[in-house]
Amino acid sequence: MASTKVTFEVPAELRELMKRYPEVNWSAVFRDALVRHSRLIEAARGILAEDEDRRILELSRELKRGTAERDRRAQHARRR
Amino acid sequence: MRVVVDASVVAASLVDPGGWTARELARTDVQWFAPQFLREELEENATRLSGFAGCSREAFLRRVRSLTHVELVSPEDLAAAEDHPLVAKAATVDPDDVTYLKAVVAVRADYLWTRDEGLLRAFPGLAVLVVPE
Repeated sequence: MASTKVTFEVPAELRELMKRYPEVNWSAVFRDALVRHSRLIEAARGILAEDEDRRILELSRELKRGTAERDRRAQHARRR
Repeated sequence: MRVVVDASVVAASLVDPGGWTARELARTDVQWFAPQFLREELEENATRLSGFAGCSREAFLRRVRSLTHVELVSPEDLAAAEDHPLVAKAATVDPDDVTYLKAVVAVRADYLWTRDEGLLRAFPGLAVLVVPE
């Protein structure tokens, strides 16, 4: 997978802490955190979209049925 | 351009009044139409239908009344269109779609905007699904 460089600004205290543990691959730590957080956002968006779609579908079904019923009743009334 | 919107499009705009569908329906360079029966259904059953939209009855009615650019097709105009071949075809696909095809004929619409797969398949070129660019 192609990679690209991203620069982050962190508080000075955090930078000092990172320097205290040079054996840690901080880049990998950041990358993993970003991946986890991005997946959470994607999942939340997906759930919201699905819920909205379900509500649209249900409301649509109700409206379609109700509108048709009114039209049929008007049609019967005209023919009587 | 004259476009009839069906229940699925109106439902999408009511569930998400700040969404793309609702914003499209506010466009003034398109003439929007819907059967008057649809509006009556929305107003008379607002209490029950607001649950589907996830809002209060009052908020639901505000959303309905904000659809000011959608002109209503009267029952008389719909009745005058009931013998048209497009209407007869709609009856064979789904009898509940007949009213929207009557509206298309009544106002001589260029398109029927719908999210309904049955209509999209049955009326290619007339029934369209509009998606955000």
